[in-house]
Amino acid sequence: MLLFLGIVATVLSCRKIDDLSNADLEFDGDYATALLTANVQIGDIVGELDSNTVVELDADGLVHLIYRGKFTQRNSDDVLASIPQFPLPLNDTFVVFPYTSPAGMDLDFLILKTANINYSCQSNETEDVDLMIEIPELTDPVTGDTYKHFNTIVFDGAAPSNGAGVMDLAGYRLEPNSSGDITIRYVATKADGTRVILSNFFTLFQNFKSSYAEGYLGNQVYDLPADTIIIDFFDRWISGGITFADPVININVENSFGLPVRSISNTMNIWSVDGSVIPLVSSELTAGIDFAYPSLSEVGEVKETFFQLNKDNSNIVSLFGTKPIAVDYDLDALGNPDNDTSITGFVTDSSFFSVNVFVDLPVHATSNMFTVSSEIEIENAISEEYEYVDYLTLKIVTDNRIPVEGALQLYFEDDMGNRLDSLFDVPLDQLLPEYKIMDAADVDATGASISTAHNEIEIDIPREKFDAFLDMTNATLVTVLNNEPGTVVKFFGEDDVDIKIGVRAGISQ
Amino acid sequence: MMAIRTEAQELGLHFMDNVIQSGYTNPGKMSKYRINVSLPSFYGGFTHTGPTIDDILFYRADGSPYIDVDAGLLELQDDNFLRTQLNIETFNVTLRFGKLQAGLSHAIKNDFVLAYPRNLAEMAFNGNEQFIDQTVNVAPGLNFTVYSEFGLHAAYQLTDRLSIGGRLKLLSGVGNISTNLDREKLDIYTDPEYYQLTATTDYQINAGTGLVEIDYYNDGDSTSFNIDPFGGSLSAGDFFSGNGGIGIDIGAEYQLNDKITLGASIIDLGNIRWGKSAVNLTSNGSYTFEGIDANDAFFGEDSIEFNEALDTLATIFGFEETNKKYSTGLPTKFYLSGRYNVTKTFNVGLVGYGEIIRRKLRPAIALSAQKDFGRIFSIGGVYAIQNGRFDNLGVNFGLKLGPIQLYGVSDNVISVFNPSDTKNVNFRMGLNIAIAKKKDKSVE
Repeated sequence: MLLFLGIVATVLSCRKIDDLSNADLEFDGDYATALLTANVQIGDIVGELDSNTVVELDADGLVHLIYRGKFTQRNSDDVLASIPQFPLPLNDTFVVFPYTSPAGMDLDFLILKTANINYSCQSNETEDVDLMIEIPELTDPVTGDTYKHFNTIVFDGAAPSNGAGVMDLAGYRLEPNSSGDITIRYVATKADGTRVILSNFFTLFQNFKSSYAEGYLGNQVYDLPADTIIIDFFDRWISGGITFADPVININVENSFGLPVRSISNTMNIWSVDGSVIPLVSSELTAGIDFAYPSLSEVGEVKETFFQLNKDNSNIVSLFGTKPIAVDYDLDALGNPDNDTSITGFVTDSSFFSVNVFVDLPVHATSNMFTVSSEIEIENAISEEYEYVDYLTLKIVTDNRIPVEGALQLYFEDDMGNRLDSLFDVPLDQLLPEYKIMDAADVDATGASISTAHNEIEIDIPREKFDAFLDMTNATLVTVLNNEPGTVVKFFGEDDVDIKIGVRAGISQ
Repeated sequence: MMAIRTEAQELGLHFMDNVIQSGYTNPGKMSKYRINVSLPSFYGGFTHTGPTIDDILFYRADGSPYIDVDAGLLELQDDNFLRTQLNIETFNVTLRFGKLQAGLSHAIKNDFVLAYPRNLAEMAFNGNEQFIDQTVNVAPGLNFTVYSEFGLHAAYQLTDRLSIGGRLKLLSGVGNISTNLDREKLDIYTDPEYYQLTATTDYQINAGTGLVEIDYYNDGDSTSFNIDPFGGSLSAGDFFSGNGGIGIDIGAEYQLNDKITLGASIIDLGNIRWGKSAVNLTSNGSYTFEGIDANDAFFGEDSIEFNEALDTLATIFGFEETNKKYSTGLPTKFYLSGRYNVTKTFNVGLVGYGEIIRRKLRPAIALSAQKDFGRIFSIGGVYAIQNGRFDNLGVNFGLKLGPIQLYGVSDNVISVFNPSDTKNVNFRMGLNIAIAKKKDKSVE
């Protein structure tokens, strides 16, 4: 009997050994590990708000958000427009034709960049005839010598003999006479010095372009292209506000035209996030800004003018409190704005007038539950290994040297954009202070950060919420920034926050 | 009551005076036969201080089996180990000439010890959250040795009461992989700030000869670590390798009177020096995992790859490989026994036993009873308290038919019928040729 029982016991026991290799493992553990660390600087955060933002630091390290418009430029083509070719017959040895300055201008002289006169004529003499063509109003700018062209009409055995040539006038100074005329005369002589008259003398003026013009350049408008500066900063705005203490619009002008120029502001509007269009009001802009210009002794130089629309000379502060998304502007330039004909100006073929407008937002501001969102696409499916996770608890530790407190909300969404769940089950306006991710650093009287604010928060993610997390293919991250009421702070480039995230997970199988 | 955790070995054999193999537990014993020739025999043993299969294996209502890890963890001590032994005795020849007894023996021995702290299992299955802000040692220990042993033994009857003996063993290491007991540190600290993990190591793994294959690769980005105790090649020459050692057994037996005999012995005092193809992998330093640096993921083009964190954890342990010689000690054992002859054919005994495993003395105590049935058959039993268990009942027997002697001994015969509830089992069996039994002279 004992032996039988012993055999039974042995068989059962051996079966257990076999079952051991096929048995499921059941355990229940709680694991903790660090997850990730990051050091986020101001520039990183702002750079993520939109791709159009340029972050710069001034000499004090204060962060500036810069939004630039297109660089616009006008050159001298209109002023020094080329004269179309025209024929001019010489019916006599001396011909006068009037020179007309471009509309509104009273040019004293031009330096020709390119110009040539083609001519043809005939001689009825039975010998060679020497020809000299002279334009008294055309002189060598260096020697002062009058332009003369020499040629010989060769007698080819049968009269009349044909003569032709090209007069290259490039580089010569053209100064109409006191009557405003230009004269052309020729002298044709035989070998013995006897002057003769040529017949069928035709000229064709071509490629008449100037490289320099001096005189009164007229009172005219130089049209510059309109532009719109996009400010994406508020593109993802949801609610709350941020007030910049000292926003500015900078207008940078470069001018190498040798004449006084004044701005004409056709449009300077701010488009806000709610769709309204508000004009920027500035008496100085309305009156026109006089831009610097080079004098007659500064030919080739470029003069710069910098003008700023700020809180002292415009309504810009209140405009940027409306959460602007664009600055729409149209500026033109008016030459000789006072129409003073006594002003002698100049223009060269390389003269230009350029305007560069940019919005500068020094981050010296106060935020009031400023809330923005960004979409996150989840590229990879969450591994099925996480099915053994019972719960997660995230521990977020921040050491913040940025003078603003912040909270986050994460919405889990499917590929249709349907909301599955959220990280916190509270409305956005209740995220602070209970779900604060980072505390604001203390500031001094100027608004600069002077301390490190430490904050810890634990976020429980129970199994039900974790299921939604596993199912999501998209997510919306909402960031809420806030300052104490009345606190205006400055963001400096060195301001940063250390973020450390750990996780505790319950895993069972 | 003091708890006794023992890993008893060869307790029943100690009282089998009719069998020459009892001299393995005390070389001072004089054989009852003038000529003893042992044919190849084997010994196998298993010990686990942790849970048995019955402690961890359960069945659901639908009959499917599952392992309850928490139940197993309850059965763990602070320090645990699992041990297997397999010895093949190739031959043993012992001759007795009057008061002198001498002999030659050879065996191939295999001893495997895997030690692990409870903290290792707790951390693996229950997690490290319970150990936040604590430094926990989780270093496992390992000693796997295969060696060849040539023994030259002698015993001498000094007086009518006292006999002494010893065995000099020439050892040749075939293969070894072991952790350095002086460098067995792997501390894990979980920081309460945000659960950064700091591992502090001073850990060395040694391996000798080509039997053991150890494959370690770490280029700073990825790592692989494979140990195959039998992955290498084995040739006859490995049994006579350059990994030499010396072992010594000494013992004495004193007959107090006709009834009482006392015995004392020390077995396996010695070590093996591993120099041929020695490999040392050493990790020494402190490594902290503070989480993945997410800066590039948040503000660059990279993404967060959590699998990289696992690779980081693996590579930070940075084992350095060297080829220095090292030594491993033999598991030294102690026997202190007394036997009382109730009658000429029946005796009872008491033995205190100790074995040094991983520098710790692990004691055992056992009671025995031996009965001879003439010259042909003897049987004995041993009751031992070992490994926290009180149900260790051993049995031994010897059957002599002419010069052929068959013997078998186990210190826990119950485990044969109930292996799933066994923490300790051993078994030895063999054949001897025993000739010319010496007449028993009682001390007057």
